[in-house]
Amino acid sequence: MRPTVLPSPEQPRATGSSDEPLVPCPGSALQDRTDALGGAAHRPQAASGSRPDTSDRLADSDSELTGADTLCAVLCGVVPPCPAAEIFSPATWFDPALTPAQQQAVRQAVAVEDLFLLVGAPGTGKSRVVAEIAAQAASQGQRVLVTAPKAAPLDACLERLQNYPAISAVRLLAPHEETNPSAGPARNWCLERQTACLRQRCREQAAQQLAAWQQRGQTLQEEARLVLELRQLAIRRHELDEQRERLRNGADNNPPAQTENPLRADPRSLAAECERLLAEEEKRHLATLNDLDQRIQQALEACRQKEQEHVAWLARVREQELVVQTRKVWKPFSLRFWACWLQGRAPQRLEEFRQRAEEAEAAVREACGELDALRQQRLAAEQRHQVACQQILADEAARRQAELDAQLARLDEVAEQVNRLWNECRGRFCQPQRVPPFPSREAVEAVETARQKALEEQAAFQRFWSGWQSELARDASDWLACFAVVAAPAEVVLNSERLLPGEGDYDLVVIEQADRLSDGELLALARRGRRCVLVGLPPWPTDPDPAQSASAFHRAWHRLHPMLKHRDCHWLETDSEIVCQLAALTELDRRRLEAEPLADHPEVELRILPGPTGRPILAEVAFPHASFSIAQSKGFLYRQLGELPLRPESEAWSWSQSDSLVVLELSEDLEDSRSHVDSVRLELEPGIVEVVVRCPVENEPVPAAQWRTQRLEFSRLAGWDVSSVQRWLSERLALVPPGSARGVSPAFLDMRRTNWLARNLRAERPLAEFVHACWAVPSVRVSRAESRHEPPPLRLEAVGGACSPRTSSKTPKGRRASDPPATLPIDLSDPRQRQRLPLELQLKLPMRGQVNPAEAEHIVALLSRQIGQSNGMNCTPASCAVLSWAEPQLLLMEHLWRKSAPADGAHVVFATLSAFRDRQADVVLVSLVASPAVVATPLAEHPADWWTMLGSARREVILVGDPAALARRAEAEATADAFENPLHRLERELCRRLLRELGVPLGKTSGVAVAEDYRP
Amino acid sequence: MSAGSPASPQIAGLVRHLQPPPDAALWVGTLRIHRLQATVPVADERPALPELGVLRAVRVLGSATTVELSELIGIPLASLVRRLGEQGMLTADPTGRWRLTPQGQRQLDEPQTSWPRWQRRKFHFLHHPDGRPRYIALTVSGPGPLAEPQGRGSEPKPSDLDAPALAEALDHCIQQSGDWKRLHRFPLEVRRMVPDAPEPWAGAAPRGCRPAAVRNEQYSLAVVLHKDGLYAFLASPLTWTLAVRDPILSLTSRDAVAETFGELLADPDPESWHAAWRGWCQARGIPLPEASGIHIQRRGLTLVVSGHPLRPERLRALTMDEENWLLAGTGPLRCAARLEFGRPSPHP
Repeated sequence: MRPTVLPSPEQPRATGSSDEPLVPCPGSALQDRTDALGGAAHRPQAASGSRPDTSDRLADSDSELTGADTLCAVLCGVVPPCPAAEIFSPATWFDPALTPAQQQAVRQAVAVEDLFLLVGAPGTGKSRVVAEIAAQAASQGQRVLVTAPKAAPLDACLERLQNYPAISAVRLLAPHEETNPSAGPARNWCLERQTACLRQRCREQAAQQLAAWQQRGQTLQEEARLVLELRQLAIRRHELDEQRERLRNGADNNPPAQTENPLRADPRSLAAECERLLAEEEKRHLATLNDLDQRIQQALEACRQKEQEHVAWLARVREQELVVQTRKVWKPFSLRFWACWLQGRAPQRLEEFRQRAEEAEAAVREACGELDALRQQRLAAEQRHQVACQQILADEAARRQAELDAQLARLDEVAEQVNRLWNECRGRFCQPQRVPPFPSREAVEAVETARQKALEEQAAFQRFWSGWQSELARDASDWLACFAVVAAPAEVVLNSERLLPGEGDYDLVVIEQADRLSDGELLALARRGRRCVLVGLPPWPTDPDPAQSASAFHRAWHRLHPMLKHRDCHWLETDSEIVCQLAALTELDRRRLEAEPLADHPEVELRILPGPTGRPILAEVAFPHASFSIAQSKGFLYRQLGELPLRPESEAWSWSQSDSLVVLELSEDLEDSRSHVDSVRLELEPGIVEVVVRCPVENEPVPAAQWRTQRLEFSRLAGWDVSSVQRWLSERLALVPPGSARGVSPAFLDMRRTNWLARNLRAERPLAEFVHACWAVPSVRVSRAESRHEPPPLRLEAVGGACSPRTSSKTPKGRRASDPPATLPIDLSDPRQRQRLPLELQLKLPMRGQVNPAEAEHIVALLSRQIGQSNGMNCTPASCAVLSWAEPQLLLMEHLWRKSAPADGAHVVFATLSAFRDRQADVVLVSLVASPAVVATPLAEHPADWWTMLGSARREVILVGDPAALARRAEAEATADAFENPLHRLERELCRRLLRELGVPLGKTSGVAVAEDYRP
Repeated sequence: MSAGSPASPQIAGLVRHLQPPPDAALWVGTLRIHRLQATVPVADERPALPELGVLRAVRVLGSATTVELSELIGIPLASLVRRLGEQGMLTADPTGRWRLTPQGQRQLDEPQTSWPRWQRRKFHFLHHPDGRPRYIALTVSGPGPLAEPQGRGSEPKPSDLDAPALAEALDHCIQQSGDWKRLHRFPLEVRRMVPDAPEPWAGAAPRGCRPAAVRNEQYSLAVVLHKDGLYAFLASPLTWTLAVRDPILSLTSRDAVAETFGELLADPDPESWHAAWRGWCQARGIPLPEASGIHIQRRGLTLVVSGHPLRPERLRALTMDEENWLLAGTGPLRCAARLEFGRPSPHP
């Protein structure tokens, strides 16, 4: 519980040049003047960092913050920091027709962690976005509660969700809807019916599955026989394999080349012929060897004899050589000499002995040569024998191989037959792919194991499905927990504890029509979920103090998405000057303007409006066109005021970021804005660029153009990021901090929690532009060149007809001379006025309220014409809605319409404006039932009625009534005090805009019509 | 940041928007409120069939994705499966396949076991000087610490309570009779507070089973006393404008009001009003001798001051811009009254 006060990050300050100060020049004339005018310029907080940033203090909370907590904190004036959520990018869009702006809203809503506010006028696609948000959240497994004070938006959401089969949705009925026959569509989605539907689907699925599993059980039983067959085949195949293996082993284990006589190793394998041949060869070989051996012996003997002879002769040679040597050495007188001499002829004998020794040696060599030859013959004989044996064995091996091949081929045939039988058997299995394609005992075991497992699984599933089926038959509970999307009216959510779980039990609560809920209701509904998406109408354009709005939704919106202080700011360019309008001015105001030149820039003119309470207002700043361009004008005002008055192109703002820029997009159509040829880039200060576009303006007293801001670009290189940009915007864009004294609470543009759908997608283009111009651009008419030649999308039918009112001689204000005379409403509570109605109507109509029979007749005539036109053109009759604030008038119109025998197929709805909210029709006819004599009572019961009136039509809006009544309301003076009914203020402004758009002149004359008796 | 008392125009602004408008008394101030967020079992219902079906299907399948379960049962089950996960019956592995937890297994094996339904609830207790916090059924949770005085937000206060103390207070409320609970709007379905870790759920972390959390908050309140009860309105701590138009606390029983806000039933003593009057005069430069010697009488929301020496035109000037509201008392809530001037003193 120690909230941490985080230091506020340094705000990047672009280093502007010294002559362009970022803060207003304290001594400048414009600054002094604006100070004197009540501080029209908002001062940036110079010491904003000295105060603890309250939004940061919630970041360290250890308890969970839900959407309701955040909403309450926002209402209390504190904006908790938006948790950083991942960008949600759906895999697929359930509704592929969503526009990029709508997709962006969905992305934000699904990604937000606590609270998200979505505003949009009727027809901008809020219901579509809500359905997509619910579908996307539900597809992620989240539980979504969609609620609204009225049923129409819930049913619209469910109608879209029914197109998505993956999303289960249910509608909880309010007590009055359970008996109301008009709540037919809702009852189609009610809990009982949806539960019955789900239960039926489950029953069908259970029956189907149970039958399938029973069938599976039978199949598995049948497969037991097949397994037996498989087993026999596997055994047979195994035997064959063994046989084959044996054959293979017998051949392969005795390769002939590896042993001397391989066939001897296994004599049983030798054939008799082979044995005989081998024996003969052996015999022959032995005989040869014997013969050769004898001859070798003889040669050896001869060789030895020759050797001995040779040796003997060699000995005699040595003796004789001694003798010869002695005769040479000893003297002839010696005895020895004479002894040798006596032996006589010694040299001759030595030569003879030597010759004899050489002859003996030659004989020895000859005998040895013969012996070698014989030995060679023996070796050759042995080699020949080996070759002969190998040949015999090879012949035998070849014979045996041929015989083996033949046997193997026979085995293969049998094995192939076994395989064929196996595959036939395999094919009879329920899942053949689970049986191995080749027979083996292991395969059989695997099949049997799988079969046993499947049997167990089948038994389990069969038990499950049969139990489930019987329980489904008995079950009578509601299946609310099964529905991902629960749609329920607010009263059901608030009052029913039985059906809906308690606090925070839904992941996402989507509250439509949030602006119609009280504070307590809104918070109580928001508490149902952890995250909360609030959807409603935009704040009223004429609301002077958003912080005091009666709607908590609008107060929260203003806190998170503060309005520009200069909401009515316009940059107008005429031939002579560029004017910055800082406040909306009526013609009367314009006449009261006082011009005053700026002291230090006399060419710049300040136009000041003396306020009703005596406090002057700086209304306009005019720059001479000759010396000021738009860039110079804007730059001058920015430097002087320290803030940036601008007119955004659209109310739908968004962030976009790139590596180099942070961009605040102020244009709804980004593609158009990028390619706009008239856009001008203004550098406000280094790193900040304002992109403006020039738009021509029609129907102004002088030709003029308007400069609107498309975007503001902040360079990251200059140090800007989203946080610092938001801070800059709060200070410089003059965002109004609602409900607090200036400087106490910083206005914070939290565009991650807010989105504004601005483009009307329901109406056809002329009407959409008309409505947009009516609401969004208060004081300047936008060129609608495309619609110039088309029929006007909004008409005001002045009423005349059956009754003949007495009118004054003058034409009442707002009424053209050519208009038929108007009638006054009849007050049903006044007996005298009531008597002017036929008795039938007196009995039918209630005792209170007002009716205008002339308007009713006129509307019935218009209806007939509309339906008739459709029939005449053979096209689908246009759906028409007849709306009024006065319920008796609706009864009267419905009565007259039924009496006029309506055409077949005509779809006409009679409803009050509040009841018609969130519904739509091609043509909307509105009976004003307004009297020019009464302006004190507002026409509408709720500001949203005006949205409904203008935004419910797809093609055309027809107002039927007295233009003078609108004119009187448009010209009613505002009361000075702060207690003026906001409805009056809204009505006054809207009547002005409507009449201006309709081209109805406002005059100073007044006249009152008096109704006479009504005789239909 | 005005976390103390509102100024006179702010009180006037508050009174304009109070609905129902105060008739007996209006007390304004900043109250210290302890918020306990705890997990409670809110119902002991038998499980609905779809939940059981899903659990059985998961048991039969062993493990399954949400899509497989939806296809098996034949209806979209994404939200239901997620809910079962949050209740601790199923747990998902990183691949997104759901398996039974021991809790879920037990739920299937023992049909008589009650079906737990956990909820994370907030209980608010009013700080009381005697140390025993009083339960109040607030309908909203305010911005909490934001209303702390500047610079002291991160400092714990002696009045801060921790979770065990508040759990004891909650347990005390649970043990009260049904009548007491109805009087104080204590939820009847809450029968006990779950300890921090109720079950050793393997791998499952149900959303509700987080530790009890306490926030000691300050609420800027306008408390309206009526004959039929008490209504408290939440004001913005920054501006003292009405933050929520509907009352965030309604006590329609005199006994409940006396037990919880007993000090508000007694009017501040006359000396407090005299002191407030003197302070008002001092702020407007009225000399003390002129401010004393008056007679003060409180009638509902008005404080009639008679015997004062001020002339009507000066009174009009002084009370312009709604500067005519006084606050009396010394507690966190102070009684507000609008000045009304009776007969002036015959001797000015």
